[in-house]
Amino acid sequence: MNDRKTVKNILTGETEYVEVLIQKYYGDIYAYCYQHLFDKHMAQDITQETFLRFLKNLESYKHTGKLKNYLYIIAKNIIRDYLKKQDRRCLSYSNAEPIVSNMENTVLELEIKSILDSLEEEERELIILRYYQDMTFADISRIIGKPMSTVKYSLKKLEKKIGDRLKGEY
Amino acid sequence: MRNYKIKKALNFSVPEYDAEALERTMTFSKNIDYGVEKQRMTEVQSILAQIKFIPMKAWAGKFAIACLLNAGILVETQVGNASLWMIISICIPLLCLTGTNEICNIMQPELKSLLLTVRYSMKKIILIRLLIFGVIDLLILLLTAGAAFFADLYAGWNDLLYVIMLYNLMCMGCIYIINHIRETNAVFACSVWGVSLITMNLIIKNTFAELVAGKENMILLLIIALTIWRILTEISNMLGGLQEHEINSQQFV
Repeated sequence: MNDRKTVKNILTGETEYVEVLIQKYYGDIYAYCYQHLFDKHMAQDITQETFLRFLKNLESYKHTGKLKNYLYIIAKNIIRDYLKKQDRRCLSYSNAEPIVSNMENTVLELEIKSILDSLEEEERELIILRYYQDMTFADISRIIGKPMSTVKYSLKKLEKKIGDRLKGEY
Repeated sequence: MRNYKIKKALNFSVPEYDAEALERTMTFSKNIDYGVEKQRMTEVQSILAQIKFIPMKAWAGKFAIACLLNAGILVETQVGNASLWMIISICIPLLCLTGTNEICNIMQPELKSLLLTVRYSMKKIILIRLLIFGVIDLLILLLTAGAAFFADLYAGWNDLLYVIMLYNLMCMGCIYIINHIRETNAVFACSVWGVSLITMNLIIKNTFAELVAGKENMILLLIIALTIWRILTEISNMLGGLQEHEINSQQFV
């Protein structure tokens, strides 16, 4: 069943479709949150908040694009608010207890963390959406609200920057 | 094109989420109102929505009667040919009859089965329409009484009570007819009742004061009370009958 129909069914009182919707996108949104926060529990909490915020405002939702992109935007805003509250940067891995516990503690992975940590918020967003969420340029441009040409250009620059950081490995 | 070397270099595994976290999200999501409750209309909204379904001719009829009543007052003040009471005698039953037509239309057997499938119960539709027509008629009568008062045509309580009695008698007769003749000729029967009332009124009015000899207000109040009681009984019977009809239709659906 497509998302438009699922949303319509929920709005007409068929609440069993809420579970269908959550199950469909929970994994993706959780992964997105984790890739931002590197904290499993916080990622789960923000994923939950994303769905609840979406469902509470379901009436105002207009199905014009992909529902998944809409959820990413909500998650992005919640993460931003959370990080503002925490008064720390998105990938501040210095207090890396959850990261170490959840990732293989290899030199390369630590390097990845430090690379992501060195990026600006929007640059990190681009990398997460493109390389971890495997999104198209069109979807990324919708989520971050910038033209596709800007997204392409920024990613090209980022690839060069990260390539340099990886000591000319490729 | 994606840079696969970068993708490979940046790759790390995301730990599996806890099944309890997913369950928790689903549990919380069940406590949210999904529009159905929010979309449900309030009583005021449902009344306003019903106004839209009352055809323009009903409003036009009421407006024309209100104009006629006030024109009668104007003519009476200007010319003074004592035609006001005749205008009132004709207009008050007609005022009631314009609304009655709409109530009769709802009660038509073919329309009733259609109405049973829509958002509101028949009971609610009838009550809302009776309320709308009652309020509109009251406003028209108040406007007319106010105009008569300012034009110094107001003779006393008995005039006001007489108009109320006339209106109540018309309402009572119409509701009785609608309740007992639920066929297409109910409107015709109501019209006959209206004309009879107008004729009776025109004959009786002049001799009424003499007939009751000083107990005019008392008798008028008594008739008004009796008509109100009868109207309420008939409305109650009408709604009770509808409820049975709705239950029966639901059993067969």
